[in-house]
Amino acid sequence: MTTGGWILMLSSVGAVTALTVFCFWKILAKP
Amino acid sequence: MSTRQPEQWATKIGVILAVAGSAVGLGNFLRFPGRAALYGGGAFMIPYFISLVILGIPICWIEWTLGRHASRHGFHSAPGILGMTWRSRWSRVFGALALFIPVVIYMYYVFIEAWCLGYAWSYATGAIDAGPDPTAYPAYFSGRFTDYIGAAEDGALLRGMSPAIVFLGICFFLNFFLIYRGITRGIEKFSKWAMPALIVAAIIILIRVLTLGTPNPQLPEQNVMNGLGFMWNPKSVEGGGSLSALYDPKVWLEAAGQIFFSLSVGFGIIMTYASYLRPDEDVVLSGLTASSVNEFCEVCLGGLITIPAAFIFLGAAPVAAVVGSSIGLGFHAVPVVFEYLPMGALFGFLWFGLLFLAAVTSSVSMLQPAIAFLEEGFGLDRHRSVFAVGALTGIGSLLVIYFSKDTVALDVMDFWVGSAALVVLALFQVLLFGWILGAERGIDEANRGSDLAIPKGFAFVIRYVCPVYLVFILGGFAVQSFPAQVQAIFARPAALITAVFLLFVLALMIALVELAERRWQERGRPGALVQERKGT
Repeated sequence: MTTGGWILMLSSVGAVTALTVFCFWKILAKP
Repeated sequence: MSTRQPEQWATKIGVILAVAGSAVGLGNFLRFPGRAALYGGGAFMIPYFISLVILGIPICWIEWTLGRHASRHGFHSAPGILGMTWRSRWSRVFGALALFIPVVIYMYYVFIEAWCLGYAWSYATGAIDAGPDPTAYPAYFSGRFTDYIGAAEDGALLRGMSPAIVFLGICFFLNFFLIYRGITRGIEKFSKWAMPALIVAAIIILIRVLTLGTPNPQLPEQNVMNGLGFMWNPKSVEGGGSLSALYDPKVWLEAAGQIFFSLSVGFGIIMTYASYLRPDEDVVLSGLTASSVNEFCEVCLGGLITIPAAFIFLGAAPVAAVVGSSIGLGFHAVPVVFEYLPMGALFGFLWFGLLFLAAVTSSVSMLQPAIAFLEEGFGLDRHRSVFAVGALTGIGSLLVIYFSKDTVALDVMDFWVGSAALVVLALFQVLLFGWILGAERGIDEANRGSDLAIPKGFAFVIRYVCPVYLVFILGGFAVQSFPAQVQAIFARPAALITAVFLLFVLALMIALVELAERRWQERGRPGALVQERKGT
């Protein structure tokens, strides 16, 4: 696993996870 | 005349999971990892995410908005929804296309769904026995799959009672049972447990894969880190540096295509589902959430499981040989992994079980547009509309299972309908929203009642960038594949018969839409439909 591979994998997985968490947080936070 | 009350989603999370379920399918776990590994590894993710932002999510929002907009006038079918936005003959033609696409995709997709159920059942009952010799595993699974789907000879599956036919019957019954129960009691209820269940199953498998370490000390290079590297390390496609893939138009074409097919845009399904929202229900955040769930399944689960697991046990060369084919990866390579894995039968059951759930949430969504059309276009009750769609899709599936040699019928349907026609319909939707309705007006409509506003800058994206990008994809298809696909149709009678059948179904859809339009006109479209429902 190269440094470039790590950067691309973690940024891809992190971005998608963050977007999913943000969306569900927005939905669940609404009364 | 239908006496049913107009249906609506019961909960917001229900509609989000139903739309996400429609999008999450075999492509997330098989097609995406294969495409990424083949077209640049980690570098593939750069055009992939750009395509998501400027193509996938905007078209999702368009479908959600058009669907909710039409729901105020009582329309739930694509011809009604598109006709509400633009009263033109073209809306009827493309409305018919939006019925044709999901119905035809269902005809072969349910067959693949049956393979997944059949494999899950085989693992659960211990029916898979590859023998003690690891070198014989690939040949065993390749042969088993060929026999299972009748790929050696046309009509092979129809001699006697083959397992594939039994499981196909079960899948047909399950899909039509869910669709018969309706939006809330069928699709929503099923999606609300199937989606979490498949995500949990995938997370269990992911943990198992990531904790494998180096399972065979005699092959130290076949370890988890190298497996992840095989998938995620940026690499060239045809020589050059690690990021040279970014200069290759084919990589951009594949990334855009993957986003497009993964999010299930251009099927007309999201539009239909959104038409069951309340008129003031949010569409922007819901659309974004459904897309993000799909992306989570694709990137975080599919991207970390399939290729690394196959690499660890098979090595680089065998995996490289199958990454271009979702079926090769899913039904030839991955089952070999479960032979090496401790408690492989359990993980095999979980894997094919999750693929089956992902497939059902997709296939059931493919039936709803046609059911909704028959109900509102001709006033059929649910019994009759389910029977009519069941009969048509049954004939199509029969064609697929009869012409099973080399999966010819399946491939013809998948290319012309499951790939090319989608892009054409999406292009119409984008032009309709961006130019006929007006992008700014459309975004205002989307933002009405929404918990998250679409930035105004997306008007430019929808009006100019999306159409150009879609023409680029269609052009890419035309140059790369159309000549060979046309030749393939005339090369084999099975392919020609399938193509003629597709033209017949398309003509039937156009004729039915014309008849429904006349009926709507006679009753004073569009309000008559609402009054008709209230009055009955």
